[in-house]
Amino acid sequence: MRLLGEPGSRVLLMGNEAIARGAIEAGVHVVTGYPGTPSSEVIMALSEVASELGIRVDWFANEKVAFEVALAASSAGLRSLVTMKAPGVNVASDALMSAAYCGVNGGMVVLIADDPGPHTTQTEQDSRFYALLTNLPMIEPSDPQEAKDGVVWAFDLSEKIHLPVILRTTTRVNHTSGDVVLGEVKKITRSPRFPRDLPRYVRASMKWNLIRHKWLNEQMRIAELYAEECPLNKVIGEGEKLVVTSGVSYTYVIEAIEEMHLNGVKVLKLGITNPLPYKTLLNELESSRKVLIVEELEPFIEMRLRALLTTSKLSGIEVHGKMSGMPIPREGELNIEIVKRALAEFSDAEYSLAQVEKASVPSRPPPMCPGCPHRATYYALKRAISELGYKLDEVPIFGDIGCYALSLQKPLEAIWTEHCMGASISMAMGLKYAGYEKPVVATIGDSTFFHAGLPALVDAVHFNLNVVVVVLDNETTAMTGHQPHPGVAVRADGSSAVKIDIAKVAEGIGVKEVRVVDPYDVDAAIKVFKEALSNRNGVFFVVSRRECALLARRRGIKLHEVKVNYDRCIKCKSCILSLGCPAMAWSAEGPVINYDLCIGCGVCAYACPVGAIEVV
Amino acid sequence: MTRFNLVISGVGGQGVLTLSRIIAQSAILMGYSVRVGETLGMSQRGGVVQSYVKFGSDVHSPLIEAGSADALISLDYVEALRASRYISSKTVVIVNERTIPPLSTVLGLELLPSLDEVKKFLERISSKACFLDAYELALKAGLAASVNVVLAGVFSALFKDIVNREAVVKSIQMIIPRRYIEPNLRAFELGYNFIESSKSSS
Repeated sequence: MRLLGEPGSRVLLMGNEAIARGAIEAGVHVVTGYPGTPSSEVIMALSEVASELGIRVDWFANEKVAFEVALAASSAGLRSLVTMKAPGVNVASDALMSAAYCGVNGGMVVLIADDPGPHTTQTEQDSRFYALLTNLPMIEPSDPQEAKDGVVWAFDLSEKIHLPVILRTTTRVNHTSGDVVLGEVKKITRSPRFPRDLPRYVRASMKWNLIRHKWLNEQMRIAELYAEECPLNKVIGEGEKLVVTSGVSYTYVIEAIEEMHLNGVKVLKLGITNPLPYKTLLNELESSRKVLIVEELEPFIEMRLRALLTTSKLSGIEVHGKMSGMPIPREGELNIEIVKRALAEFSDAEYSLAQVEKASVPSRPPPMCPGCPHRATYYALKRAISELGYKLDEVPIFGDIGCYALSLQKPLEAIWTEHCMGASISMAMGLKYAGYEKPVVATIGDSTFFHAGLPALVDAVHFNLNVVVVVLDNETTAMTGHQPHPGVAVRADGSSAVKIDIAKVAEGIGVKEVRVVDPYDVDAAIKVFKEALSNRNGVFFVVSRRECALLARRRGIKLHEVKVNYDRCIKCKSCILSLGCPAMAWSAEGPVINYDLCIGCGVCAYACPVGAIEVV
Repeated sequence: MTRFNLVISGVGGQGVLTLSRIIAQSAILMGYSVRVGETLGMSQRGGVVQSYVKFGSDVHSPLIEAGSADALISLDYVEALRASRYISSKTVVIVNERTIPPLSTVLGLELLPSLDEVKKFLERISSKACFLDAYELALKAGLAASVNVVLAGVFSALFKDIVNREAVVKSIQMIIPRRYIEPNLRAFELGYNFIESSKSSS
């Protein structure tokens, strides 16, 4: 196992695996999180070795819960790591703010994985501002080696200044693999003990809050001294032109300078961006004539560097960056081409980009998987809406965060919204609350339901609103790589946990109409959805339950033998045009099933008007 | 060698990420420093997957510039076309002659390019284009899912001075789950010999 390799050995690790290894080397005791691309592989990697190493590793219901579990462990003197994607820190932010006031005893590292691009996230949120908002230290590694080394340093820093340390990454750090030289593994034996220290842990006294706020600011002044020693800070090259950068942008800067053969350019790479290593920064600025800031998303470093210059004695230094109109976009991620263009403008250098020939290629957005049960659910739901005489554009289907968002594409074109975790139920309820008279439907995944759907369901029941809530229950957190959640009987490491039945949860809250359907039984599902859409008795709750088709395929499941009877086929293409299953292609004779992909769900047979698809 | 830029493209589920891991591990065994740039998340969902494998004495970033690939391996011929922005007259392209047609073409919304069109285009813009039916060789090896390893064999035969066969064989043994190693080693040999035998016959 690479994660447990010998110190000194050079192994191939993904950034997230390197973070996991860093936590192991730092002697971490407790690791928590909620799945979210690009952060998930840290816990996935650790859960494979957790029992061997005696580390507690688990997925929790949402990021706030995960954060507070880790905070309690670190308050009790243990070392903890909590992982989340960028929107997750919004969910955990309430806890994060107060954590800065109580601080920690054992080291605590908070991984926040941003997604410039964006590749898989609803916004290109620049979470570095959380470091300023909370006034917590933040480090930004550039590559897998730095990710590992940075985690080890962050744990030590956290214990020195008694504050959680933010480990801020971007997709290109989390998901980049590289050769990493492993370090020594520390074994730290500690027993948890929670100190009864009221001014520290009780935020009910305004006097105490003021005291703790002062304490936090004092700790951060101490952190300024450590910031100068951060091993992730680097100065490379010589010259009067200075490039200040951080994170993965640094790697583009280095390669661009090399390829452009630029001389007289010095690079200051900031490994810690809160607090800034002011001394190092001023030192380098002093010997520079002009400076360029290269960073992704917002001008976070630039704003603070400009502020620093106005309060320093330095003068006559030209500052170039996004705020002065350099061609470094605030949207999307950077790459070597963009950095070359900026460097050329900054240093009056020539550069050339390769001429490439464009080809026209058909688009390939990710489809729902072959046999995906969500496809069947939405197909049945839309049929039910139509069969009741409603137009499809008058019954809104609110979506949520998960694979089922892919249902927005042709041919299903099902969901109307995908806002943030749990918003399907609250927005569907909101439309009813606002007085909309036709039916409204919320569709939400099982993991998302536990994450943020529950409080909204409580209110929908409380206000007795006629909302149809469909939980797309595939018994896993599929989108992020099949992590368990409270609705399944296993934990991250595969050991057993208590399964919470979603239908019983709804009954317990007081939902009067609760049904469980198998979406592969399309006729039964249509019948239930028609009943739900006609209901005027408050919330109608449907659990549409079927194992994730991707997992079924991996287990080698073939539910049925599906065959096309070409003598019957009238070549109407209904099967393909209504379902769009990737296991089906079209030929002159009719549909062709790709048996490498087909799991035999048989749903296509329901879509055929003449019974030409036979299910055995 | 300062830096070798390899792009691997395909469709989620075809084995792009495993192939990039095999080549990256081989490069480490050859003593190079390595960066693999990829975005995960859609990798098993039938979407576009592109992986950038950079190795050499001096690598930093996970991305590859337009036109700067030394080699492109594509597990799907349509995806080779999508990756053509990385191809220049110095690029060697290795392409599987099969495709999983994009849904948009199955639905009749967009046109599926023919293998012949793609071949002609890539032959024109690259330094060398090597097309083969890797799926057939994978079936011959006894594992339909070993298309990626067939192509690793082709790559290793074409670039044996950079990544030799011993390194690739060893990394297949390190990365592939034990029960699939045998058919994958056969797949590697079939790919490797596809180049070697065409050399000896020409």
